[in-house]
Amino acid sequence: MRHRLLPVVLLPAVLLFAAASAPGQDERFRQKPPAPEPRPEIRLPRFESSTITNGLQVTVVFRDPAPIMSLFLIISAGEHASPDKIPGLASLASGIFGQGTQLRSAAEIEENIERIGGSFSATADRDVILLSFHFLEEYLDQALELVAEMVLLPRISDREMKIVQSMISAAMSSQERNPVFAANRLLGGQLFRGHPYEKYAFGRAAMRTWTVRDLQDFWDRNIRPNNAQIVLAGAVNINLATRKISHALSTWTPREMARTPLPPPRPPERDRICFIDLPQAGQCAIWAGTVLPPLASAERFSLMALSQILGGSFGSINSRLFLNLREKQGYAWDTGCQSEFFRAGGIFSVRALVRPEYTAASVREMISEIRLLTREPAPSQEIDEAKSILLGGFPLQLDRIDDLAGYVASMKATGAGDEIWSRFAENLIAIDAARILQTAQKFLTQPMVVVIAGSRELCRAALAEFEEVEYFDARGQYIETIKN
Amino acid sequence: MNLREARRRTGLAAAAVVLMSVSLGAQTTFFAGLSHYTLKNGLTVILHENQDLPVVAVAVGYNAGSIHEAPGKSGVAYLLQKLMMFAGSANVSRLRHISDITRVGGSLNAEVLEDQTLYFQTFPSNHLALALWLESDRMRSLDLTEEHFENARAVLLEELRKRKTSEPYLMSLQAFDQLLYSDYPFGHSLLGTEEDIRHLTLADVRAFYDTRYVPQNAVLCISGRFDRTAARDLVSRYFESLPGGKAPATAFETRLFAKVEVTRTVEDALASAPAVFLGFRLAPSGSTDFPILSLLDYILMRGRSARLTRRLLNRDAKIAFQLSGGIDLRYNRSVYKILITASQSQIQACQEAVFSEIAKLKRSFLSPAELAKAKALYRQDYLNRTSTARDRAIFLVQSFWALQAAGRTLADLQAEYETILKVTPQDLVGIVSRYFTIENCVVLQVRMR
Repeated sequence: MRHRLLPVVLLPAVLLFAAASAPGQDERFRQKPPAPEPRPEIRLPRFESSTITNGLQVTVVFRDPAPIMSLFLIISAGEHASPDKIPGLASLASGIFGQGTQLRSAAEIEENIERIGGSFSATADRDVILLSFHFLEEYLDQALELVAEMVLLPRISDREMKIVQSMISAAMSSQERNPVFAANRLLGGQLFRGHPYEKYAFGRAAMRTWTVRDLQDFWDRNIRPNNAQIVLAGAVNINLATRKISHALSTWTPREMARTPLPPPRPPERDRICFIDLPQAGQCAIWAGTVLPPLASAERFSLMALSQILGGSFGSINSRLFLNLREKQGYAWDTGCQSEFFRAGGIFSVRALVRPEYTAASVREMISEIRLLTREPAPSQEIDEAKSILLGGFPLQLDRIDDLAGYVASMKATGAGDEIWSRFAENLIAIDAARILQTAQKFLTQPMVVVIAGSRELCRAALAEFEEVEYFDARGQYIETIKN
Repeated sequence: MNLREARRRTGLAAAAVVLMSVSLGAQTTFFAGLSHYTLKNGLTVILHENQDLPVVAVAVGYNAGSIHEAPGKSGVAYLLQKLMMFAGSANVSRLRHISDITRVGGSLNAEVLEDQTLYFQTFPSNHLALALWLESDRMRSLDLTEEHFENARAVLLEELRKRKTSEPYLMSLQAFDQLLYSDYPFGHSLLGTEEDIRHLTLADVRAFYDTRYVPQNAVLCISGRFDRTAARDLVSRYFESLPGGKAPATAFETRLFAKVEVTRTVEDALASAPAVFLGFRLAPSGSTDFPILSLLDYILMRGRSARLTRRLLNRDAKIAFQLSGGIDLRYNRSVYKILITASQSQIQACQEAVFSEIAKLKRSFLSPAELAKAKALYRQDYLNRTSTARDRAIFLVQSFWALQAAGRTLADLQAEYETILKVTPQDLVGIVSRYFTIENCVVLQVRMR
């Protein structure tokens, strides 16, 4: 009997206890986000540089432990160095690095790279040809031997050229159907019209002009140690690295280089609307931008903060473009903004992926958000948030060893200095509303080129809202201009 | 180290009742930084310290994927993942989780797989408490309202519609999975069917959340630069009081596949070229054969110079358009998939080439150089998968579930790595002869419609 009563007697107490201990009842700390700890000090890996006898510069980024090493060979022969009438030659040259050597076939080279737990890629951009190797740390000697063989004994022939040509053509052909790729490429080409960087936007038509002789000339002129640098990241010191690199590459012969600095790009003369017709596209990609001259450090950081406030390079959900185009208007799926910096200038651009029927309205909102930043100082809360994102994101960019080496390689390729390395935080913190406004007024009042890529059919009504539209095909070839 | 000593040294008075500190030796720096323990509510906590850059990643994995969906409820795991990402929770408003992490310069994402769902974020190390606060809040009190549910369902249905009408070979791959895994839990699509998704209710989602999104069924990993004692205190603060829930029954027994040759043909309206999908049913993941099969993957298809890659995509005599595949592991069952697209005139030659390469592996031992190359690539891959705070957190959570499904624990992680590096040519001949046979193979031929 007593046993039966017990649960009844105890029940209120059990319930009381259960209520008191239920999560949330006395856990006020759950109601608000915890305050952050003080900002951690970023101890950046140190890097040291040297030059070997043939002029090849070496930079070692020390990281220990590093079971994988990362090596970048940077050759200052990007598309700006392609002859004006033969755009794309730098990209062709970068592809040749993957086609084997005079001693070994491409398959044999691939096999040798994989034997050292390695991977390899070669690309060309506006400024440089970039070769990247990643391999297990114990195979540095073997990696350098492979680099030397690929640089000193390239396999340049009609056969290899055609293989690379078809690879580039196939890649371009599949990318051209992507509105984001198509719009971005045309914007770069249009903004740098008449500038050496224009060649970076070469299309498939340009490939017909390539010859082996041109390629060989390009190689002889540009693929030289005194026009190149190596960035090596890993647990190796500069003396040892220099000795090993010198051993592998000292026979690479230099040549006198014509060092004419590239001119700064000229801003667009007027606002323009360009449209690329991609009949299959269900969405429209919009890229709008203008060019930037080479910048002083303060302007560079102001533009970085300003770009973050507007959109962020990865698309920030707290940014003005996102909150306007996606959350308020419901026009866009995705938005973003970035400032890209090259050796002779840069591009400021905003982007959005929108519903076709809202193309014109989206362009108006995007331009309006840019202009607003040229008229009114950004509130301090927005600036603080932009700084927090950029400052917090900085070490995240360097966590992987190939990203770390790639960051330093990019600094070297574009001629950026310590201002984006050891002085990164200091420079960013110094930015304020007045500097951002000043920078916006200086660069963002320039005319803008807007490129829209999508289905002309789906965008017909929206396109009629613009005074004048220049039409291009998927390959970036001009078709016609229509005035409304 | 006994329990009392461990508590004293970590400064934990009574927080964790189960504590297992594992020292995995120092063969690689990766294993040296690893420890794990279990809270009294059943939540497994993995800590991986790396005093490099001030970056920390937090990953939370739930033993909750499509294999846990009941018949007629397909898509619920994927739908819940969307709600976890966007809906908010008792103290965190809609989209705030994303906003809070990105505001400090961090990044985040989620991934739903057949046998687990993973949420992860990377951020500056001074915001560890924020990430734990956010993760604990959605673990204990996801905001499951009709409005959020309907939004997520609409997004999922739209994604399904888009993918079904635009993704080449999606339908064929789903048919292939049904042939390989003949039972419903393993064979049905992670995306779910339109019919099932339309019939799902908020109660279905809540039931899945209440059953599977509980500490007993979850693992939390912190990786990067952090103070171990402080991290343990934070984990205790935010997760210790969460009700553990009942550990859901696993219900999946180790099951050997029937050794019956299966060949089927399907027509795929979105196929851009004819295709052939080959699936070899492998040993359960707990088998001693599994590490050898893992290395075999590097010999067959990893890298440009792997045997099948070279045979089918040889630059001088290329017979296929594309080759992909590898080990498909779902809980404790695994299949080796080889997916090939080629022209109509070459598709048969591709299939024959695969069997010819397999026959070679059965006939003769691998050369020491080729074996060394496979091991070097395996090492590189392992190091790449554990190279950043985020990669390590994801890798450790996934390894935890894989090891658990195989009847092992994280303490076996290093041994598994080392076992693979000890595979011999003789092991490989044996394994290929045992598993890569005609009667153990499922073939799906895909025709263009």
